[in-house]
Amino acid sequence: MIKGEPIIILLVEDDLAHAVLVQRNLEVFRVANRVVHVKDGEAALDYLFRQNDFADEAANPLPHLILLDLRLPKVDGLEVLRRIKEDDHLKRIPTVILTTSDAEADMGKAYLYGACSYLVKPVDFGKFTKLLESFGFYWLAWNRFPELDRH
Amino acid sequence: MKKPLKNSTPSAPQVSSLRRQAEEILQMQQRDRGPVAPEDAQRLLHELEVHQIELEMQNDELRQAQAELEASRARYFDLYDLAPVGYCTLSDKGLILEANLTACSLLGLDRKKLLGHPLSRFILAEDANVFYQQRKKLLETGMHQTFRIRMLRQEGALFWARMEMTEAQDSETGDPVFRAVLSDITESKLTDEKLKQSEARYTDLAEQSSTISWEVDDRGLYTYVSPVAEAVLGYRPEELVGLKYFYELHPESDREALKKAAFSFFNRMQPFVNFVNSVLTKDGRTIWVSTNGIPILRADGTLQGYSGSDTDITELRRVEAELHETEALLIETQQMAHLGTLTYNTSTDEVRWSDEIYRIFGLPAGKSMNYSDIMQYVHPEDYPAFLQAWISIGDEKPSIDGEYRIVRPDGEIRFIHEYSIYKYISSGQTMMYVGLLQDITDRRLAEQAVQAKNAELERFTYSVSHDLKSPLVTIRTFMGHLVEDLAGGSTDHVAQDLAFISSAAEKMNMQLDELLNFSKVGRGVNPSIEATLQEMAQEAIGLVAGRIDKRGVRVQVMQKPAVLYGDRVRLVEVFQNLIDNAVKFMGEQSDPLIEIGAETNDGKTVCFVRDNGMGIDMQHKDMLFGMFAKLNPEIEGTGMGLALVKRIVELHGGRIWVESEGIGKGVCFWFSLPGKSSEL
Repeated sequence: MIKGEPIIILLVEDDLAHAVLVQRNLEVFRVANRVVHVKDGEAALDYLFRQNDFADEAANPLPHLILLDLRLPKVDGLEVLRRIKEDDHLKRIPTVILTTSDAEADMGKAYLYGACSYLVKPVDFGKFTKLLESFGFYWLAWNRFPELDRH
Repeated sequence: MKKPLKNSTPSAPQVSSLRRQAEEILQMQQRDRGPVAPEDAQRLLHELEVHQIELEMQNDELRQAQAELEASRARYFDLYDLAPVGYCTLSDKGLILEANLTACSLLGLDRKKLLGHPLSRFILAEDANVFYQQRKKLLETGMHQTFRIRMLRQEGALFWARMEMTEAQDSETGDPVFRAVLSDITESKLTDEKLKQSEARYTDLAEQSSTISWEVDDRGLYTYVSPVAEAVLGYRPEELVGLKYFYELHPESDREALKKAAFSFFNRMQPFVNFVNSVLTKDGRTIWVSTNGIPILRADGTLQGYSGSDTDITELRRVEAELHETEALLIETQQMAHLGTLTYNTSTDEVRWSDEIYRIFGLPAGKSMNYSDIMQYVHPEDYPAFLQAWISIGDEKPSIDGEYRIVRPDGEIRFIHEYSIYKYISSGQTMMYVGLLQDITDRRLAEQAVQAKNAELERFTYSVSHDLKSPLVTIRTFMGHLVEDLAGGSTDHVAQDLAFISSAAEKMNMQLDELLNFSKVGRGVNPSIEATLQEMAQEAIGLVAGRIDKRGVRVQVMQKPAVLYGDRVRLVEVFQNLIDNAVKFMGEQSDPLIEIGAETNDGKTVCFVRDNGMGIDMQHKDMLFGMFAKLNPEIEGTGMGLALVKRIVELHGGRIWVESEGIGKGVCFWFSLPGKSSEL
């Protein structure tokens, strides 16, 4: 990673409020980062495969990290994950699941398809904020991302 | 003078002596008389001539009588010799003095050789004592004795003889002699023994088989009852014969009926066969007997009585009844369990199906089947596995335990569980296949229904846990931010946070309402009625009129009346949701149009709601009907509308599906309703 290059996070989230919460929490970190928000599974795939609205590779660089919800309009989150991990190039992008679902079936499938982490949005007062802080610290401060041709 | 001659029948020597005597008498008379006068002489001559003729006639008569006597003697000897029994005259020492031809042939010797031999020589040593005893008895009592004895012919052949001995006196010497009458009774003796054996066997059999022989007179009074009666009925024959009428042995309850039935046979003098009736034993038990009887007729053709037998069949009946019960139970069990049995003999290719198998296969009972006939009913998709199981069955894998589907002749598909074994039977040569087939269709369908219910429940809990949690996360988290911001004096985000909290709360409220409504669909059941598509569609249009007008959508309802059957309130809800959905996804369409109608195919009514709006990518069609499923997060709504529609249609036994030629090409929702035959 070239020093000073921002870390790009693809946030796939249909709930606008949750998206705002994620963005707001990541802003507090000193590390330069850029959150790209898409609202459904189809848009996520379009972005990653540079299709339709996201065909411009320069304007839409590949993310360092994908934060993926599971219950998504049009294309389900697990399907998005499967498609990412099937692609030789994209499968190197760490993908973290962030969802309200704590169903065993969802979790099992997510790991099977190659998710690197599975986070459940906590309902308890203040805990979601704490989770996002830890997440940001881990992924933006400590984690190292592979070299990848992003354009 | 004439008379005495005529009256006695003199013998030949007597005749010649008579002549001599007569001549002597004549000479004496002539000497006494002296000279005879000529007229006297003339008269005397005449007298003499007449007398001579008379004498000659007498002589002729005498000769004739003698010839008759000779013939009679000859006849006597013929009778004696050729009599059907043997005659012997024995001396007091037992030597044979005379014997007729029959006796000679019985003993196997010529008469001249036989005479002088002791008769005892021809008696079997073992029976010699019998002969001496009998002879002794005869001498003592003077009474003639008859006895059976084994004798040996000259050449050694043994025969049974009946011997009758009497005392007599020799006609010439006056010595005491014995006369013995012999006859060969070997044949009758053997027959007799056979008869005795057969009788004994019959008695054994009769006793073992508990069969009473009886005879009754024409009024039904016993005239004979065999001793077996005591073992079977507890009555000794003497307690019945002459004392009881046969019907008195029958239980009082059906005595009259039995009497009537029996005497109707008596009146027609007909035999009866295997007439089953109950009899009371002496100690009061009721036993069952099978009665046979034939009429006995008098010489004049009138009925003397009946002769017959009663066989105790109580045990037989009990066993039969038990067997029958067991069989009935088996059949019932097979029916209840939908379990049929089939056997297949590989060497005869013979297949036997129990009645239940025919029911399972939907075939007429008793239709003759070969094994290959079974195969044709196996569902084509299951056939390869079925065949594989069949090929592999054998010594190493002697049983099949599996499931497959069959297609009945009427096309109905049934699920079958088969457990079969394949084994050698008795002779060790024939392979027998014995199969248990159970129709498990009901269970399978119930399992499928349960699976569907479970899946639905899972979807429901998943949706509730996931979709209802989302706004809660929003509210809680923004609340946290608000608290922090307000504590830190920062008010930058307050308005936005509050807006998020508010809209999340509103979303939650809507979702809860929809969920409540959704869960009510399955429970609050209104009676099914007939209603036209037109009236229900118009009512639905009225309910969403505001939105339709706002977007300027034209709605066309098919003119031709179509009658639907179901929960009217819910069906209106189906139309309402589909119309609402169509209006929401009209997109940029400049001439928005919704068409509502129905088609009838094979008696099934299929309704449609078609629009010319945004259309959908058919890839996503499966997501459409999920709970809280939204294809487009920009469009308002909770995503419960189509889930609700699907649930209502399915509760009516129908099906819903969607057609779209793609984005911008509009959407058509179809749903089928089975109609009146299936209830909600």
